[in-house]
Amino acid sequence: MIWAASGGIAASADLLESGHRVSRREMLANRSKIRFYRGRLELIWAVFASIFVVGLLAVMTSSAAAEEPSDNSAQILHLQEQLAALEAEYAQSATELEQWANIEITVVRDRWEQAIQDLKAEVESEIQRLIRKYEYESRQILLETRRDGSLRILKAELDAAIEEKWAWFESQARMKRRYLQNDIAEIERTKAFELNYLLALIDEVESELQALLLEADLPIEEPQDVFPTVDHVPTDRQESPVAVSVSESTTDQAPLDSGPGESRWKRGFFMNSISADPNGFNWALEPTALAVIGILITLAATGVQLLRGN
Amino acid sequence: MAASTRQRQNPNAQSGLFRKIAASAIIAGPFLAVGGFGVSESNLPGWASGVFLLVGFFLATIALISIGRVLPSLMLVEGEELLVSRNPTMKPAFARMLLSTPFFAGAAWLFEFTVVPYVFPFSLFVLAMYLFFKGAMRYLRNLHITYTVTDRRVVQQYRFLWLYTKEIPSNRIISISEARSFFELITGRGSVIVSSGIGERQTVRMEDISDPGPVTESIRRFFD
Repeated sequence: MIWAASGGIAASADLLESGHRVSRREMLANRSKIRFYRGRLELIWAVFASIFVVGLLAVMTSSAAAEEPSDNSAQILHLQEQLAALEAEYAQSATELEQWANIEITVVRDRWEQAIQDLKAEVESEIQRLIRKYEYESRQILLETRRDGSLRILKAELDAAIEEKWAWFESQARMKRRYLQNDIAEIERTKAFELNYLLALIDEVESELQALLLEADLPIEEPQDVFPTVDHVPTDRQESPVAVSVSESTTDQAPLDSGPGESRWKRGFFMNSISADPNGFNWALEPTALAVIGILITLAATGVQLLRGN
Repeated sequence: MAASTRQRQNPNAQSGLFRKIAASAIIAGPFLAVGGFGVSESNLPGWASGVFLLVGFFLATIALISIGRVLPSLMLVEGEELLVSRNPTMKPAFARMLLSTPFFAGAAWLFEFTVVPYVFPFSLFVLAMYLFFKGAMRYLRNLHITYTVTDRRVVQQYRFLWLYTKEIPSNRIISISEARSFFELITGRGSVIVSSGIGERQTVRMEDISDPGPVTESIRRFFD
């Protein structure tokens, strides 16, 4: 059109120039065609991108509407995580305290047993001395160098002295055993105090968790006495199946099966909570599926570059 | 007698071949490893292992098309002298792949050590994969692009699933330009644009070649 409008100029041109104009016309036409195709390609991309964004927003909105208690769910997840950490700490502390108490009790028992043995040896030594003295005095009587006593009286005195020594020993040993029991009880008390502190924390978190579950109108696990208090150390608490299941449910962060009596909390795509529709989009995307989708999307997006060679 | 540019080029190409194989293994290896591990040992679903293996084989195949020199190289006519033959530099491709590493680490951290919804690690993972594949595809594309300057013509070839050649005879060249951005200046790269007219078909753009000065000089000799 530009060239047609400037017909006056074109009429004055020679054959070479007109040929040159024709080629330029073709070039301009090609350029406009290229622009047109590029524009159409951009339009197609824009349409696809818009559909993707709108679809994503729609899914996010519907999921958000279906899963109201997002704040609660986040808090519940946090509490579950805290609970798992406390339980793990409890299990570790129980093991460590058990080992510490065993060592301490062994040391204390050895010390007091040794004291009793020493006392017994002392008493026996004293009794031996009394017996030697008796034997000496009885020989004196038999040789009649002593006339102020009889063997019968001497023997009676010896027996009384020995009996008194053993009685003293028994009382001392009883006292030392009582000290031993007191020391052992003190060790157990220290151990129980440490564990009770953790148990109180666990109970507090569990109560808070149950209150939140009630508030969210969600199924609550049957309360079980997983951690009975407290007079002696429960050594096998960390092996409790319930404790293990709770710990796994919060620390592994993997989606759980929603079996009866099990926690149905899952880590979702858009939010962490139980879904109103368990078959919904939020739970359909597991990590493996997400990884594969991510790889395929990016591969397709970048593979275009390879196909175009540009 | 006609000969290919491959025959005229420096036959000391073993190290280049090794580098190509190593880079291709880095690109395709992780996918093949994950897929193989999923099939043999882990509890990865079978379909997922299959996808990983397919992606790995796809990338390896693309690389092998170039490394194995499946498509024919440029044939030179009798008496034609090969002046320069270049592939685009791989530095930007490797830089992109390297740039994806922190995003992968971030995604792994969010996935393993937090309980945030999957959308957050997934977004980072997609970003990391995009950067990685962007670099990988650029690397694979560059493997298939060859710029050749002979004493009679300037040729750009893209040999992948098809052969696409753009050629400008030396006596039709009307302009040569050398373009370098700031980062290209720093990294010793640049583009040489040779034109015989206006329009995409009349232009050969030798993009992202390392040390473009000698290439420009070799083309400038046509005007002597």
